[in-house]
Amino acid sequence: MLANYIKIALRTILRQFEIFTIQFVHGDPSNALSEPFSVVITEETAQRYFGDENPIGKTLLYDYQHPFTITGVVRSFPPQSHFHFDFIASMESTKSLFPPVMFEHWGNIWLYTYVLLSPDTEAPALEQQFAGFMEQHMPEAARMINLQFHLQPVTDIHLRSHLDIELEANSNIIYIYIFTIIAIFILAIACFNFINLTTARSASRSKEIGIRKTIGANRPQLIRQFIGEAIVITFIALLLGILLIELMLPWFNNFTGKTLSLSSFTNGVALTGLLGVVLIVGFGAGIYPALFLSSYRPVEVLSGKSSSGNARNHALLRKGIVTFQFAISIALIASTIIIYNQLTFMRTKDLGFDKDRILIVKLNNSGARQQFEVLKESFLNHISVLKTAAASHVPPEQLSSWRIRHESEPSDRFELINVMSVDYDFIELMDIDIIEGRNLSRQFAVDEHEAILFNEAAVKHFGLDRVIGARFDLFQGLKEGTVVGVVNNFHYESLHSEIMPVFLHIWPQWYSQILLKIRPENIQQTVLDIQEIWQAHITDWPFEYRFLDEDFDRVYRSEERFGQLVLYFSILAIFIACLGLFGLASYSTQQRTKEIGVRKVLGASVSTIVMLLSKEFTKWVLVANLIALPVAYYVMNRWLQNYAYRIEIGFDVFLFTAAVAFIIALVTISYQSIKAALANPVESLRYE
Amino acid sequence: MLRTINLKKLYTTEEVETTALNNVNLEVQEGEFVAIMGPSGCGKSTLLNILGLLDNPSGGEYNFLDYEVSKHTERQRANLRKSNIGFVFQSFNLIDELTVFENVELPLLYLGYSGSERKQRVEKVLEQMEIAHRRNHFPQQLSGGQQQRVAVARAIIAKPKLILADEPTGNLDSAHGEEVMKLLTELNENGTTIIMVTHAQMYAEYAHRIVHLFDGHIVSENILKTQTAV
Repeated sequence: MLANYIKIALRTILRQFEIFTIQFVHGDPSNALSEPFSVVITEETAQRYFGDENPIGKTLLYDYQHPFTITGVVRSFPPQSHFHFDFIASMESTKSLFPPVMFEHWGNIWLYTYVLLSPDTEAPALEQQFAGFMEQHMPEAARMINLQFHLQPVTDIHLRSHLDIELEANSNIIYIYIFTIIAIFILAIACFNFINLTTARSASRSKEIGIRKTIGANRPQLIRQFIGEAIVITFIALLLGILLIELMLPWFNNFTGKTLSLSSFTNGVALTGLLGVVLIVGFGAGIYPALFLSSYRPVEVLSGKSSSGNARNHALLRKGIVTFQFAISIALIASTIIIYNQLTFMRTKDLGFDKDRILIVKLNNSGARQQFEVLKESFLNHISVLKTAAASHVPPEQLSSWRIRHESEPSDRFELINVMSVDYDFIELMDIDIIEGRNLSRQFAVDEHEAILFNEAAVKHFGLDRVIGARFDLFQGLKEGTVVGVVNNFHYESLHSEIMPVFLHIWPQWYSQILLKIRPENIQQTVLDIQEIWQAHITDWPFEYRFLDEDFDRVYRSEERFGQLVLYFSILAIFIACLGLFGLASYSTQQRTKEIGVRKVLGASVSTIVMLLSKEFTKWVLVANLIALPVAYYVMNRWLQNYAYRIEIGFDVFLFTAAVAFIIALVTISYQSIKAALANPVESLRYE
Repeated sequence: MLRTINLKKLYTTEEVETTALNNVNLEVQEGEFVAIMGPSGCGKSTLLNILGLLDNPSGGEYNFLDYEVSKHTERQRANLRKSNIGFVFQSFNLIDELTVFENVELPLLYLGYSGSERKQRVEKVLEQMEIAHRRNHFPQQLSGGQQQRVAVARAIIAKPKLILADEPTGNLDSAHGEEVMKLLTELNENGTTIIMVTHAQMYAEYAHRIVHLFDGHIVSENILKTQTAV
């Protein structure tokens, strides 16, 4: 039965247009990729190569020598797809392009297999049969490299796959959760402000309520009125919100590199959802003030009294609300600081090599690859080029891995180890330390074929007594390797990943780039000169270059954006919370006008009064800190687990956050408290 | 003790200028008990506020304990005020959130007395005012008469030379009013100078002298009895 599924999987590769909804502009989906050397291209690609002509039947040359016939033109995948392409070639063609070992050995995991399950198939049930399947068909491979198969839904790949080598760099669902929670919190802060300010300012409406009740309104009618008002206000806020989105989207898209548009809201589900939010928010924010306001007794209200015991309970609720709002803001401040600390840590951490001023020129065709020595030589002649080297991969690129075996192990005991193919000059150019043995060297004739370097992690992995001179079988007999030196654990990947074992060896057919260490002066001119040198040798391929430090920066860009967004949200949350605090402070000082007057008459100075008023809020901000900081610690610690190399969250972060919160709170209430303290007590005591 | 010369107070809003006090000349000797009477809006409370160093006059001179204070800053007035003047208000003006003990303690707090001394003096005054058993109650748990006793206790706790009472009996029934007047008389007999604003003739008659104020002027003075020797 299982064999059937695998057949389906294979057919999927051949007939992928039946699985993916790809829209054909030209050509026949059913047989577009059935022949070897047929290729389907996107509309953009067709436009680039052929302009407005119909490209069907025309040929494209792959790497000088392999003509592919165009059998179809399709629309590009939408941006949210988990992978994108310019060309899709038929599976059959690869058999002529790649060595047979790529197809014959189960351990060669370079294919992505998509399986279309029948509607009544349970994925977990199918997954359970994989082990038995492997045991039956590929016992050797399963044992050799600890291979496992598992299924994941296509729609989960972008956000939920944490696998290393997906087709495109993925995002993480945790960011969606974090921003959803932040959004809910900010909405909650705003709702609380509404509740707080509505009840605090209830005095201004008490007369209206008294009159309405006197002329016959009953309580449910008033409750309906107040909730209705809240929902109307929320709806107006929704309209303003949509307007804000419209205004800010260009900036936001630019900032995030996404192409979001307001049109995502114009479907029935989203609109219903938004209206639902309006009702929930309006009701949630309106219910308490409605109950509170409608409970006024007309006689008391109209005679200017208010029941004070009740007022005390409400005051407690208001303070609780402000505390909660501040707790949210404090958690956001602490998180922002921690994110920025981690980013700074990643940017400044010693990577074990020098990433500055390294220009990378891509060997983007076989002609350039064949004459890489000549190119290196010519580049080196330039006055601004200090060193040159060639390599298959440059940090932080994802490395390939080879199956390697120590000579003392049985012939089926392989380990899957990362490999970098480099030339003699690589280690020196990158300024990587040799901590044992020696570097790869032209002085030893055997180095070209045999010498390998281990990093410390590889040494530890194999646990050999004497690592220098240890001999390995590389790629199942493809090559013999002898360890001649050990390099330090340099970060050949980003700091997300732990440094894994890696070996470096000479393997010119894999070199894909030339590295140039250049002088810091006149970098632009240097790049132009290098391009000229390239063009003198390679006439039919463009000059492609980049800088190594920029590659590293790019790896952390999504984190940087994340940090910035959290920062903006923190500022927004703090601002809204401060509005609430300001309102509460003005209400509270107004309530205490008489007390302040009495205290001043009895000799209290302005500063004592300011202190008195501030002390009360200080207490609540302290409580907010106690709630928020453990939560921030927990959440950010979880986030930091994404990084193999991360900061420790220090106590100083929390101390600093608490101080910032206190300062913000004090500044916010200072206006009210200083105003109250400076007021002439005669005014407040004149007559009751 | 105090003397005003041509004391003036103007209230200016954007449109109107109201004269609250106009050329008030008043002298009060140490140990005297003076009642100020007059209809609403005649300037009684304004005068009391200036005499009590809560407000500055717009013109004229005010000598208090040999200081010319009419040009004093808020801070200078506060310093002079807190050790020399006690206040009793019509509406008591006790702080609702503080207990009886804490209300009475307040002036000593601002004068910087130590905790033990505060406790000792507050206990003594509470005994004297016969409200010691209520020391841990909040003002709203007390009757009006009891609240005014607390207010008087607070006014005398710092042993001021002068007590200013703004309609101290205004919110009390006659029995409690009588009681408060007796308290004030007692304090006066022990040497404290008292200036009291009142509407009620019967309470004004406790004083040595009644000053009648009308439209910001002193219109007449009645001497009822001579001051007992201090």
